[in-house]
Order: sequence, then C-alpha cells, then structure tokens
Amino acid sequence: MLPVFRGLMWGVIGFLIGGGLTALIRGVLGLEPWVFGSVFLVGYLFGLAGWLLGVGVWDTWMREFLGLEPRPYQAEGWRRYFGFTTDHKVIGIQYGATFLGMFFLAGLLAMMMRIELMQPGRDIFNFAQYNRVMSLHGFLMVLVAVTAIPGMFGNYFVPLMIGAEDMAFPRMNALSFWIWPPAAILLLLSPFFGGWDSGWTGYPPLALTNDPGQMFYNLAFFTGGLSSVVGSINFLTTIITMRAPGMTWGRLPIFVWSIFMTSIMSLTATQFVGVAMLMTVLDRVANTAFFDPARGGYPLIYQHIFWFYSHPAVYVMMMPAWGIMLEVLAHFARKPLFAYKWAVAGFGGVTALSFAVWAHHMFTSGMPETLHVPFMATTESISVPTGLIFLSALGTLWQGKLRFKTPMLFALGGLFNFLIGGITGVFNSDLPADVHLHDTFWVVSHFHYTIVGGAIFGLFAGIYYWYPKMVGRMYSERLGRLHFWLMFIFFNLVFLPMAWLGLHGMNRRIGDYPPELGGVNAFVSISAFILGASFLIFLYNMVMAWARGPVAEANPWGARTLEWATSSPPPVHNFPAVPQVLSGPYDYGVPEAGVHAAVPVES
Amino acid sequence: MSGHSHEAVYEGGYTRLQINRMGLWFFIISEAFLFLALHAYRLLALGTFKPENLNITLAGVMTIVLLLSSLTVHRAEKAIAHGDTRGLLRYLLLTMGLGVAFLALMGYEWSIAFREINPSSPYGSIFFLTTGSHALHLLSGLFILALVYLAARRGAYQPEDHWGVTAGALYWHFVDVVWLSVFLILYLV
Repeated sequence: MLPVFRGLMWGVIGFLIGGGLTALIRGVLGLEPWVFGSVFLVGYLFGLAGWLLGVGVWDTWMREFLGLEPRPYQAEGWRRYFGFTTDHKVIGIQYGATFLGMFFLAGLLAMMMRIELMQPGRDIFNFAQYNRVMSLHGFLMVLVAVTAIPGMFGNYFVPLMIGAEDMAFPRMNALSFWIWPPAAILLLLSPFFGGWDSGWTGYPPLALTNDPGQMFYNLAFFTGGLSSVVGSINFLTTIITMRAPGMTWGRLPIFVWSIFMTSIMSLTATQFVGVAMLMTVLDRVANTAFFDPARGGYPLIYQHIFWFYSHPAVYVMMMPAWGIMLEVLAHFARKPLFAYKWAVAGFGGVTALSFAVWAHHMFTSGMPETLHVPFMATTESISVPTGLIFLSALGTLWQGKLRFKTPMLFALGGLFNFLIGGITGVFNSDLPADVHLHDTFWVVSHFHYTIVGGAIFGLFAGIYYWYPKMVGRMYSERLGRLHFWLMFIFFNLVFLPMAWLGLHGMNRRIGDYPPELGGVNAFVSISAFILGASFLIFLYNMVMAWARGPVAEANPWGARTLEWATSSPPPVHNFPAVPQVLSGPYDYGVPEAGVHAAVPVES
Repeated sequence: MSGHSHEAVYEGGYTRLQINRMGLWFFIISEAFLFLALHAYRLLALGTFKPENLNITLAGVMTIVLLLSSLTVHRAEKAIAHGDTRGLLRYLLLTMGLGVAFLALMGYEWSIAFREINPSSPYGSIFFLTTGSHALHLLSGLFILALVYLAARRGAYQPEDHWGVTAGALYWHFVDVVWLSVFLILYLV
C-alpha cells in the first residue's frame, strides 16, 4: 500500500480514537459528550499523530528506537513522491506540487472575490460569505508565500549549491513535508464546516465567538508552524556543517544565504504564533481566559504575540525571493554580484530588525501610545538594510551584458514591483498617514506589491530558472515571455488602482464599497481575470515541457554555481565525488578566477 | 549513507556527531522560544500580578527534585563515557524516578490549584498552560530516557559512541532549565 493511504487510514483511526475518548471522558464527567470543540481538537491531535506514524514515522524512527530493524521507504519512479522518501530533491518536488496546487486554488478564490467586487452592491456573495472567501484566500496565500520557496527550492537546491549529498537530517526533512497534508486537508474541509471570517490574522474576540470553522484555521496554522520549525533546524545545520571543502562563508551562493537568514526567523518566531493559536483554541474549548474579554482576558496581547511571528514572517516570504532574484540577476548579467558582502549584511540586518517592528500593525489598535514612535522608527529604519539588498541588485545590472531570458524578466519585474511595494510601505509605517490608511485597499495594494509583486515574482523567476534542472526538460521560451508580460502588466493594472481605491475610501474585508468607485473596480476586476488567465499559459507551458519538451543540458544558462555542475536532473547523491570549491560563485569575467568548483569524475 | 560512493568531507571538518549535536541545539533554541512566548503573555498581560495562595514551598521542593535529576542524568552520561553500562542503567533509573516524583508532586499541586486558582482567569490560564507545557516536555523527556534505557540494556552504547545518551541528557537538562524559568516567572516575580 502507498504510504499516503496508510497514513490516511491511521489518521482517520487516530481521529476516531481521540474524538471518541474525549466524548467518553466528557460523558463520565457528566458533561455533554458530543460537543464540536474539544472532541474535534483531541481527535485532530490523535489523527495527526496517527497520520505521521502511518506515513513513515513508525517505519523509519519508532522501529529503530524500539530496537527493531527500520524499514526506510524505497521506491522507484512516481511512487517515490507518495511516501516518506528522504531524497531532498524528491521532497523539493513534493513541496512544489503541493504549494503550487494551493496557489492556484487560492487564486481561484481571488477571482471569485473580484467577481463580487466588479460592481457595487451584493452580487454573488453576502457579506459573511465574502469574508470567508477572503479569509481562505488570504491564509492559503500566506502559507504559499511562506513555504513555497524554502520548501521547493530550499530543499532542492541548498544541498546542491553547497556541494552536499543531502540535507543534514534527511528523515526530518521528509517529516517536515509530511506534516503539511493534514493542514491542507483541514483547509480544504473548512468551507464544509462554515469556514471562518476573521481573515488570516484570526484576531480575538471575533475568533473566539464565530463559527467552529475558525478552529480549522488555528489548527492548520499550528501544524504548519511545526513543519517550519523542523525545516529550519535542518536548513541551519545543513548550511553550517555540510558545505563542500572550499565553500567558505564568503563563497556561499546568495540564495543559500537568504535561506539561512530566513531559517533563523522561522526557527524562533514561529513558536510565538503556535502559542497564539494554542491559546485561542483553549479559550474556545477549555474556558480559559487568555484573550476573552468576557472572562477578563486581554485580546490586545494576541496581536502582540501574533505579529511577533507574523511580521518576521513577511520577511520569511520576501527574503528567499530576494535570494533568487539576486542569484538570477548575477547569472544573467554575467557579472559578479555587486557588493556581495553588503547584500549579506542587508539580509542579516533585515533579520535582526524584523523582530523589533511588529507593533506597526497595531497603530490603530489602542495599544499604549508610548509604543507608537519607537515602532515607527524601527519600521522606517528597516528600509536601510532593504536598501542594501536593492542597491546590490542595481549595481549588478550596471554595465552588465544582460540576457533577457524568462527568469531574468521575472527577476527584473520583481525588482520593479518591490520598489512600488517599498514606497507604499513608507506611508504605512508613518504613524499620521497610517491612521488614515489602515484597513483600506491602500494596504491591500501595498502588501500585494511586496508579496505577489516581490515574493511570487521571485518564485516564478526560480521556477523558470531551475525548471530544466528539476525536470530535465526545457520549456518554451516564447510562452514563458508571454506569461511574464501578461502577468507583469496585468498585475500592475490590478494593484496600482487598488492604492487609489484605498485613498478614496474603499475598505478592505468588506464585500462592498461606495458606488462612485464602481468604474475603477470594474477595471481592476477585468485586469484580475486576465492576470488569472495568464497562469493557464504557465501551466500549459510547464505540462507540455514535462511531457515532450526538448531534453535540457546540464547547464543551459552557462551559470557557475554548483547545481549546474551535475546532470539535469541530478543523480540520487547529487555529485559523483565531493566537489572542491575554488572561487566565488559569481566571478564572471574575473580573469584569475577559474571555475567555481571542480567536481572529480571518480573518487 | 550506505551505498554512497565517497566518504563525505565538509568545509570545517564537521563529524556526524557534531552535526547531530548542532541539530539538537537548534531544536532546544526553538523550544526555548515557546516558553519565551508563554512568559511574554504572563508579563505583558499580567505584569507581576500573582494570587495570594500560590504554594511556593511545594514548588521549591519540586525545583530541588528536578535539579537532583539533572545531576543523576549527568552521572549516567559520565558512566557510559567510562564504559560502565551498569552505572548508566542505574543512574537512568534514578533520573526517571526523580522525574516521576516531580510529576507526582505536580499532580498534587494541580489538584490544589484547581480549587484555589480559577482556571478561567488570565493568571489561572497561563499558570496551567505553562506548567502543563512543561509537564508535557518532561513526559516526553521520560519517554526518551525510557527508550535510551531499553537501548542501553541491549548494549547499544559504547564509551566512544553514545550519542543517544548524550541527546537524552541534553534534552533533560533543557527541561530542567525551563522549569527554573517557570518557577521564576510564575511563582517568584
């Protein structure tokens, strides 16, 4: 039996046992046995444990702990992708398929929102339904933005780029992926249980009093956080200890640096959102009083704990995309990455400051006013390290021999979009402006410019850059460029007018707006449909290339870094022998540099 | 890494043991942030408020029991480093005994606290969640030490190769240090 099905079976059995036991205990204690909250909570926890044991934890770990012979999952071909496979390249593709699926699903939800907003008044949803669709769209997209790049490209390319044969803890790597399916199942089921209407932020007191669907959000967030922690332990240890001989910190590809800094944030801050979710669930099912004002609790503290994770999380979304963009810019400008050390310092500075800016999400929340100015100052100062990264990108382009291939177009487009995202952000961080901009479509425009315009454009730059390496076949460059221009133009036509809409009083998280904004909204909606349709070209291109594209060479871009020094796709342990790193990864046109790394054919 | 054509060598010369140790340390750092978040709620929401009837003496006794168990688990690790498997088994049992004693005291403490501290108040909520999270970590520590004990009985550990014992002991020390922070933040502050 495929491990996926065994995991599902044990997951369902675990759910029934956990839920049944809870109902039984409640009955014995004289309480009403079948209440949704605690029965579902305990059932889910047992189900999660059952799923993990069934899908591979029992075979690979528990048997070893108990002194039995472990039974690692061994399979060939497509079956590798449906079990507890420890090869980092398989795990990267598992992440990629899962999160691209979630991306397109969440994109369809966005299309539904734009249908509703196309003209004033209520069309296809009532206000409650609109907010549920918006919440599911937002949360799915947040999960995609946080996880897709580290999960897909981090797992696939960090070991390759540092010249290692796998991650430091391959079994834990498989675990970090297989934690995700229960969270995905929760989110897919949530609409059938009424969904939830609190947005992706889940603020109490609303999150304590609304429909039980809210718990699907809490538990999915908690589960995803678990995976983030496991994954970041693995990335940090791998990058520190498993670099090939000669791969000093100063020769580390910039994408690896971005994953390293990202992992520092995921490792630590994620625990805070886990605690926020846990406390909310306990307030709902166990009558605790953490955030419930009716019992003397403190709803505002939720926002502090939540944003202590969720602001670093926006850099978790952005930084790996920056890594990909700088990587692509250097290889396609045929120049050394400009101010490499300053770019790394920029990543470090953003990481450090990201822990000290969270309350800028709370300027209008009624927190103590003494916090306003310090958080405004830290927030505005984060543009300094961000500026270092941006200048590194611009300096790399300066007098380069630019090759405008699809990945390069996406990197340049991301650079442009992020500039607008950064400039609109200055107004949000500025206290007097933010009081007026808060909760308007201006903010929607701002964070879509940074996260979609920056992080998702970076994701697609990565997909077009590494696709030949991962799949071993080449896509159509013509369709790739067509996708880029449609996506770039219509992305801007969707989100630039949204800033104007926000300034003219259109609120976010409400399925209606003043009638005089109808014309611009119709324009935005039509642009959004074309933006959505552009992904059909992407899908067609990728599927056709996978099925019958021309076979890709080992190094189609003539890039220097190590992932291109092995076949496409790479063999199981990546390199025939340990690579020796001899010079920097981006020393294009540096006369004395020689090759980046020598890979001996046979040891 | 069986079936691998070359012996892996890394920049910095890290060994498998060092890699394992680093992974465990990152896990411990992450878990420390879990308790940091719980303490942050306590201090942000409640400042230094605490109810009158906290049993600080009992918590002090529990602290001593747990500190003793850190000592015994350290002795266990030293025993196997000198090839003394019987000493290892003896000290592991002692450690687990102290751990169980701590949990028993904690259960007694909870049975009183349920009557005296309202769990549906902010302090009661954070009190039960923090001590409960710690107890859950201690329980998982007991589970790990039990697995180590079973493996030690099979003779799985040698003086030069006993990563399982080291890992279990390191985690146990961490759970102890967490209790010290819990004692400080919930009872003493």
